[in-house]
Amino acid sequence: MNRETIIAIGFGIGLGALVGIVVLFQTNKAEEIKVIPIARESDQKKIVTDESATNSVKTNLTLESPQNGAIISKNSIEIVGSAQKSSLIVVQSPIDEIVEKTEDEAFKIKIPLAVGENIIQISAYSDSSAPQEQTLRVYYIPQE
Amino acid sequence: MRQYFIIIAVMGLIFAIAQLPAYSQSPTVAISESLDEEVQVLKDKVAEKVEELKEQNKKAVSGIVQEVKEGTITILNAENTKIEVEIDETLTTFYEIVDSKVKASSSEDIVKGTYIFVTGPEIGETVSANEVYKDTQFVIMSGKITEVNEEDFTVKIVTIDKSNYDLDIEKNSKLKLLDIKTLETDSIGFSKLKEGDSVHAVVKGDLKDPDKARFAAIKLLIIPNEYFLQ
Repeated sequence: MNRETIIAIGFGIGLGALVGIVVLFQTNKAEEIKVIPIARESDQKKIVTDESATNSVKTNLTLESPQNGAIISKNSIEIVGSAQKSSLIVVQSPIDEIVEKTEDEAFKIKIPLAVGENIIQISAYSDSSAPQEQTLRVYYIPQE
Repeated sequence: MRQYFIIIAVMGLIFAIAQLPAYSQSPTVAISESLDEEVQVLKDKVAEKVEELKEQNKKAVSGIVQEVKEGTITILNAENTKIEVEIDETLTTFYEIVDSKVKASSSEDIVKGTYIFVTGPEIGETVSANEVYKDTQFVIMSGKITEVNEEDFTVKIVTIDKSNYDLDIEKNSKLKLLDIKTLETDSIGFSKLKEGDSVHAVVKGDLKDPDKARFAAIKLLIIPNEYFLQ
């Protein structure tokens, strides 16, 4: 094999490698464009929509937990919610009543539970003597 | 010279063809990995949703028994919605809440007018009962005192939804008044009740007459009107 043939083979391998690199680069570029940005864009749009919807329907007294009808295996529960700042929160149940004034909007009030059904009324007095109210029923069933 | 061009072309073609599967494999692997990740995320989301639904199913419904038929109990809940409770003779167990204790009971104890709560999967307005508990119904109401009758120890209250109730204050009724400065509650006597104050009352429901407007008060929490004038 003479020198020119070896150089020709070398050029051939170089050309082949170049074609391969170009194909690989194009494929990766296409993949990036197709997959990633579309998903992210739609996610961001959804989050913005949810936030704006939440703000538009925000009321004075909102309860996060517990859910109405929840079955609990402990003898107490935390009422977690939010109300207007400086509201007087009254939590009334057949076995206890708790009165607290909120410093911030969020509140967390622990209340004992009786075995069986517990009807709990949460009232928030903010601007007047007419409270905003929500009633929950939670069920304490001790584990055997 | 011509033969060198042929060699370059042939070697280039051979090398390109030889390496293309290797290069083209990496995007496929990347796509495959990306798909695997997405499938895993979906699986996790489905598993999370199933857990959430299981938790949501750990709910109970309650109401006054309207009708007892073989295999079905119809109850009326606090929102005046009728709920069908399906009873399975082999699976459903019956209990009664007596003095803060859960005692075994039987289906025969469930009759029209009984207050029960039921656990089990709920589909629409039908519950497949795992457990049925006979319990006491309590009602909580709040509003303002409109009249205090010192002769027969009753108070009239009007609720936010403009319903009027008469509450009998008995010896074992627990009356508490909010101290507007400390926000602590103190036990009080009947003489401290006055018109215009806000009241939160706990009474025992009357299962025979759900529309009753007169109750014996179990608890009253009074918020003096002065609190709102501060």
